[in-house]
Amino acid sequence: MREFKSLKFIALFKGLFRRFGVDYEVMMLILRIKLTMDERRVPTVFNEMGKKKEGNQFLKSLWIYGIYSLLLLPFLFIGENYIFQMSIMFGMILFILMTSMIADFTSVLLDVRDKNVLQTKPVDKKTITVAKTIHILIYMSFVTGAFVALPLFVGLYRHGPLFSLIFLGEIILAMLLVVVLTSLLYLFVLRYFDGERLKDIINYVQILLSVGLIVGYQVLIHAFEFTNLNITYSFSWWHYLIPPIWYGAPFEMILNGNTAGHMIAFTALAILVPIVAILVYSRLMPSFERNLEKMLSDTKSRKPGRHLLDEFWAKLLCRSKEERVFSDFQH
Amino acid sequence: MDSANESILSIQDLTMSYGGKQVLNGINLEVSKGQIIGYIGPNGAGKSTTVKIMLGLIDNYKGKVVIFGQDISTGDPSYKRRIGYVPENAEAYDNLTAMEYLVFIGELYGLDQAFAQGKAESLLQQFELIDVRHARLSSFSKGMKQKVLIISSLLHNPDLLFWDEPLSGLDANSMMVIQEILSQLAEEGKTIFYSSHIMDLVEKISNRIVLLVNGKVVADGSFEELQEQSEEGSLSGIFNQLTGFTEHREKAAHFVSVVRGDHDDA
Repeated sequence: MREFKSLKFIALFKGLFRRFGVDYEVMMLILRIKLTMDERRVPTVFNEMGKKKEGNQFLKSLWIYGIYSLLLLPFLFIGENYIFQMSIMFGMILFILMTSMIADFTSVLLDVRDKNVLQTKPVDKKTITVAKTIHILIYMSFVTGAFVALPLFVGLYRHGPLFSLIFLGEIILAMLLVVVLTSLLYLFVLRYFDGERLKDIINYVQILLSVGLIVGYQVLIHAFEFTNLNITYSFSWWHYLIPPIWYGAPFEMILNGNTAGHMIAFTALAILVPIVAILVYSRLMPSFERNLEKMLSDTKSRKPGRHLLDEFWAKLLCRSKEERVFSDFQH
Repeated sequence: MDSANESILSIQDLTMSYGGKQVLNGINLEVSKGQIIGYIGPNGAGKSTTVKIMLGLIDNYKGKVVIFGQDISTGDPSYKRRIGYVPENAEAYDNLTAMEYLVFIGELYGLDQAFAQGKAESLLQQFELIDVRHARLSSFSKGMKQKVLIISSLLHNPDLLFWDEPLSGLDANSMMVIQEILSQLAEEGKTIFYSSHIMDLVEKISNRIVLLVNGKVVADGSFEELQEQSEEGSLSGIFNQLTGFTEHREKAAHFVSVVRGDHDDA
């Protein structure tokens, strides 16, 4: 098994993990195995290509995020209206991170094999949980890195080192927020539903969230007033509910010296919410693991619904019996 | 060696409900050293749930579970160091090779890497899997995978074994080997707790049989004791009787008639 550079980086925080009562050696062992397995997982898209691909396919797809990040660059050049520019930028960053988290890491978060393989061994739950979270964070940092590297350097050139420093700090906070929020979301879903139903609901949540984020964009943009290409910001209470604005505020506050009460409040939210979310998450993790058990079982029986309309169309459009079978199968 | 009736495992009034459904209804069980316990029961009787509770996979149960004198509800996982587990449906990390998986599991049990590797190799040799040790588990047949899992549960020389359906997918020869391994391990003072649906085998290798129906222990004793309690000669007969299942012939006849296409009451 080869050594991973990401693990070497994590090794720098050895002392910190120990301080929190994590079994560092075991955690590294689990991470190394997980990363080895990730290298071998072939995304379904590549299955049919016949050629055997080596290496981590996920890492090889990162360049696409680099291209996405070009979209962010214009916002760095339209002046010093930070609350506007940075709110939009963080809106996009949060969107990309959240969708990538849901699309790529749901399987990691909801992996039920871990229970049988890891939890039956003399490894305490905290270590497993931390290993799982770090595993996701490693990949999230790759995605974030690919997406943010370019804007960060352009920002450094355009707005100076202080800007980049704030940017970097906020990116880390935003990343934590996304990982923890997604986990909390699943936690909530897992609490109230079980078995097969749960998998459906996670799909719905994925769709709803994507839609929600787009709608959120509209709301975000309405926080600003456009008059003759001048963009002004006036505060309303509901802005407290829009995370991207939290992350725009520190720039406005520190770089433009705008110390209005709501700016300070936004900044405080940007810093405190991820931290509080982590605390809540670590408190709720045991019940999350417990509910994960539901994924393995399907205790509720349900009635198969009849779709009269579907049957009608199937009869009308499908001439042979075979065709009809596949038509029914789709529903 | 310690005295033969040292208590390894003790379960008191274990109940567990699952989404409003009562899965376990007050199980009491005392297990002492060196016993081979066949844990049997119809599907959904709560066998796997009991095993999962004992392994700390499920923790919202009611009652008391003490293993090696330690109440497992404290959350301290160190008691698992002396337990070997073979899961029910051959779940493992399929993307790993047999060797990688075994070494990983060995290390989780706190073994030295080189030691785990050496031991895994010689055990694979015994199961004639040495040639495929660097092949991925996903390419293994069910029986081969089961053997790897059995090895993984024994690497650290545990004192208590939980084997959930250990024989599924194994051919007749391998079954005989496993059967022999079980009885020799028990002679060494290991305690073995396994569940199976193959009654002939349970009858042959267990020195104690626990029958679970609807989350309750309905029979507990050696095969001979169970025979005395009921009039049936074989364990499957006893099983049918105690689970209240007598109409297998009618059921089968009805099933076949439906297969044939007689729409008598469909």
